[in-house]
Amino acid sequence: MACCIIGSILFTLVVGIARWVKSRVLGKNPEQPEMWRLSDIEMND
Amino acid sequence: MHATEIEKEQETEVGNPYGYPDQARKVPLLDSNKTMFGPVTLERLRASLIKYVVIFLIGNALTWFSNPHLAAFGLGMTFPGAGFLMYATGDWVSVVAHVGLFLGTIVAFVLSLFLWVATGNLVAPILTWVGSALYAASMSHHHYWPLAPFIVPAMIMSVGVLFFYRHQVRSQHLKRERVRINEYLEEKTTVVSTIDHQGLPIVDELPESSAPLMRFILDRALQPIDTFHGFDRIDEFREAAKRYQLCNSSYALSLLQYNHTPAFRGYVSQAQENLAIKMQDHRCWSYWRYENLWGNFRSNPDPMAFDNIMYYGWYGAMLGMSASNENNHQFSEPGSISLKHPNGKVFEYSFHDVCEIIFNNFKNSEFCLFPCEPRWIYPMCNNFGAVSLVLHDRLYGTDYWAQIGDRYIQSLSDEFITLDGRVLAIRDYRTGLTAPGLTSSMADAAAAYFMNPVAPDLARRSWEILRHDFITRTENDIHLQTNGWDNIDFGNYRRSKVTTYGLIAAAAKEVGDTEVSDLIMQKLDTTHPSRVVDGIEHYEGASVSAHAVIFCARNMRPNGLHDLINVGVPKPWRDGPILETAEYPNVLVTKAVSDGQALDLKLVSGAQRKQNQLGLSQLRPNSIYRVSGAVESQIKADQQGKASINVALDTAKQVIVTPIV
Repeated sequence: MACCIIGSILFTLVVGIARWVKSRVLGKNPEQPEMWRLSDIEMND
Repeated sequence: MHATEIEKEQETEVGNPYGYPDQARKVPLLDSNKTMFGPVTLERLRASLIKYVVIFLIGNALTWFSNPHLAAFGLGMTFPGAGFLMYATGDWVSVVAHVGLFLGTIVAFVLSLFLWVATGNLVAPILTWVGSALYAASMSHHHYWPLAPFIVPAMIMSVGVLFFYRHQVRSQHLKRERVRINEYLEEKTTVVSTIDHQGLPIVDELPESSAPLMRFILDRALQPIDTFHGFDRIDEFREAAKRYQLCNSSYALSLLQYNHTPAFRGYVSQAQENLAIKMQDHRCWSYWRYENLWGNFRSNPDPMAFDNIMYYGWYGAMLGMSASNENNHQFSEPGSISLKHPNGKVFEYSFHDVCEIIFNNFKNSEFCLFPCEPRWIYPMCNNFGAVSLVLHDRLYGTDYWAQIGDRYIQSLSDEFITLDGRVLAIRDYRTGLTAPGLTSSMADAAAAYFMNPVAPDLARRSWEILRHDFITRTENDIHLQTNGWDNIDFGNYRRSKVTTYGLIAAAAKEVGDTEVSDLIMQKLDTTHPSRVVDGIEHYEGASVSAHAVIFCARNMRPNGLHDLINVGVPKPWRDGPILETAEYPNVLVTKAVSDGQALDLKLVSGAQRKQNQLGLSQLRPNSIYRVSGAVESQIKADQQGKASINVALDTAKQVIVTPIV
């Protein structure tokens, strides 16, 4: 049971590490999907 | 008295002409006869224990053979990596290497458990355990640690005794907690819907300040069907998956429609349709092929064929709510749910099929509730399956919930609710194991919120426990007791309390604790201030699901979700005039309701355009209507009962369309 909890926490850690590698090592800006707007499509069109 | 009995007894007390609950019900106390485990769980745990004891005994018996390979294999089967300890002797290099292999196996086993819990991958832990035993057996060393066959089983038995002791202590603690909790539950009752003199709920306008957040949801839903701009793209297995973002967005819009705009179709209906079709996109259910393979050992990619209520339970609730609000049965048509696999196969279903599958799976599961990820039962996902059935029964006259509801609630109470009244997050179908550490304030709030439509008594009880034991109200502030999970935005796994605050505020509103809801929302705005950019509200770093949940909290009313599911759209709302079209985002509709005769609208400008045309329908054919708040003061409906009006929107405006008798 404790392992299950640890396992679930690890999932969050894995995502966190992947995010860190992406931004700090690969130098990619973190995505901000929450800032997207419908008008962005119209602007791209 | 059990919750189901109380519900049955009190069902007859509903006297509202439309079916809105107008009698408070007593909250059921925690059952003093309930044991730590329900009957099915206990049977599964016993069977699992027996299986392990057999493996343990055989494993230990093998260590008594003179064959060292068999001995290492046997010891390895009693505990992951223990086979390596057979060789943990000799020089220090050998000791360190084999103890290192043992510890490494434990780490690998924990990782495999993570895969099992997160993605249903049953192969991973089995492979790690058996694989490490086979690897140990394959080693050809000439030195053995003669004490290993004694020390390993002794340690395992010691851990077993410790677990049993801890279980006994915890059991006694929870029983004391039950007594304490029952004392304050004694006088608690469920919430009643606030209704007007006609027996209808009071429809308020969505606060103008919430219109920008409404646009956050609508912007994503109104983009082309095959794109997923603005959605979180992390994984399709867990809570950040697209399916949850789509469903949470749809539920938020359904609550908006029911609580504020029951007489508006237009772009909200379009958004709902888009979200429902997006759910059919292969990217939303492709995960199942993998999970079904590594968890159930089945290769069928069809997400409806076996278990997986985390897809079609949520989807069914989405379709049912939308059909109920709009009287639109588009997804009940045969083949209207068309799941096209890239290999050319097409799996076709309808809302009817989805509910039939859910019902049959409930019927055939010993727990009644059935798994999401292979083998893992989540009460939350099953709750949406139950919501789907309640909706289907009301919309189409079936009796799914009437047949299964009592058993469902009984099983939920027996197998998934702890002695101190908290709803478990998860239980394994085969072994009966759970992860109690996953319970949290957020999970309790979600239980109170989403269970209210199917088990209002249990939902209220969950809320009261959360409110009493984990929320402290000071003079101008509110304090929330949280644990690890409460500090994570479940929609993108970032460190944030936005979803926790949003869910607790929504739950508080649903069960009628408006004061707590408002205070939590204030706390959210203080700790996680949002930004409005070009008329759209964003919580920086928050997931799409977090935005949807916060929007729910803002557009809820007491029993809002309960009434949407159980009562639906009452006749006066359904039969009166409707605002059929309005241009998005120029006209933001924050209120649209009819009393059967007149139409009452509140509109907010979403763009700079000054004059906007609105299309009306369900007017009396060829009848004349008086209009206030529009350019026209009087209109005549055509033969189809349609007409249009123009509205100049510089600020928020009320428009009323009234028939001239």
